[in-house]
Amino acid sequence: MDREQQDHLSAKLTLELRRGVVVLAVMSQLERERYGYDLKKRLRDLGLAIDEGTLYPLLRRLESQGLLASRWLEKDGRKRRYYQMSEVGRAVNKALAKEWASLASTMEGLIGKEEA
Amino acid sequence: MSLKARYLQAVGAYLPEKTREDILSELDSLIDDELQDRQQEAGADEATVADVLRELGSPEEVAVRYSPKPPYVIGPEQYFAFLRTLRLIAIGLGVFYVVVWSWRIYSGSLSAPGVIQQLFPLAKDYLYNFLALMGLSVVVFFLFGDEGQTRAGEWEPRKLPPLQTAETVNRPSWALGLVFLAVLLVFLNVYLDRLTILFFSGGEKAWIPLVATGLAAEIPLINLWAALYMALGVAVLWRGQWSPALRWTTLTLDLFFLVILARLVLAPSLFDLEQFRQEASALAWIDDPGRMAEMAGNVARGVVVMVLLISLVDFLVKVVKLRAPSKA
Repeated sequence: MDREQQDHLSAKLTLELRRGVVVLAVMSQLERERYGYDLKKRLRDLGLAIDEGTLYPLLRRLESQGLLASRWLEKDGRKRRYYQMSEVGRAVNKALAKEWASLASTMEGLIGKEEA
Repeated sequence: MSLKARYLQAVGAYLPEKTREDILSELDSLIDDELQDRQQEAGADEATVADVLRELGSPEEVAVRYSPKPPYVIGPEQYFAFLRTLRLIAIGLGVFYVVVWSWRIYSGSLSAPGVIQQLFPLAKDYLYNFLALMGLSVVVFFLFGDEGQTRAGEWEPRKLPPLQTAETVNRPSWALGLVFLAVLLVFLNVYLDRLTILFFSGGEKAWIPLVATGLAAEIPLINLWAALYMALGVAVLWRGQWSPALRWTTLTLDLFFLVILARLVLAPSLFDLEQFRQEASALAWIDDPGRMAEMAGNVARGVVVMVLLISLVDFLVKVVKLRAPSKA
């Protein structure tokens, strides 16, 4: 496998890895109401850049699954759709966060052992 | 019309009517947010709008991402079921054609040469029907594919097919072989006189029947071989597993077949050259019937030599496999 193929594979797997945590990352920031672009900027500022083509449809999917609630609001003369975690979303988010903590700790152990 | 409006219109064309307006309103607002941010730095020229739209993705891509269900005609979950369906259609259609054409030959509405003459139209007909049924299958899978999908936890591991090993008999292949042998026996013993050679010349064609004298001499041996092979086939199908005895018997019968083929190659004539010469003489455009007969004899012998070589290779491969230790 040449360098280019290796880089391509690495980028693809990194994307898959990040995709797995996007839901948790998004939900964690929707304890309070936010509109799509605001959420995108916030996640980017916190170090997790998600492209708009992924983020915006994801918000609608989570809403259709009952994890988020949304409403149109007019602020500063602009109409935007605001999203926030629903009751079900909060419960699911709590379970996901717990699973993430456990997974992160396990992975830390696994990767740590591998490096040692 | 502005670039953004054109973009929204293009996305909307792929969205379901039920959610179209809502998704487009949201997209509109999201694009405005992106533009507002960039305008502060550069100004909202068309290039900036184009950049934002490019980052969002093509209208098709965006519509796909907003779809509640991946927009497949045949989804990955149904793909293998679809392939199985196509295989069944191909086999079923093949069997249907064999039965119908066998009946037509048996009832006399079509002669054996007629079958050969119509091989190309037949293949074309088969292909058209296969493609039509394939199209119908696509529609059925598109409409009802989700209904037949196995849901997680529904499938039963104990119902998995038995393990296929090197000792497992390929039953469909042997069943097909038995049918072929039965057809061969009927043809050689009942319709041998319908063995013909087709000639083309200047757009004209002629069928010259062959009294297969050389072949006729070997028919008792071929009958014996075919009967033994059919008995072996029944035993193989019955057991479903190969045993050393069955493998050695197969090899012995393959050797027997090679002997028959060798005898055909060495036979002075595979068919009645004199009758051939007479038939060919009746055709005005054949200048030298004697030479034509000789040529036809050589072609027939060449065909048998080819069959002999292929069978020999097949036999040697089987011997090598039998001697090689099993890796299973």
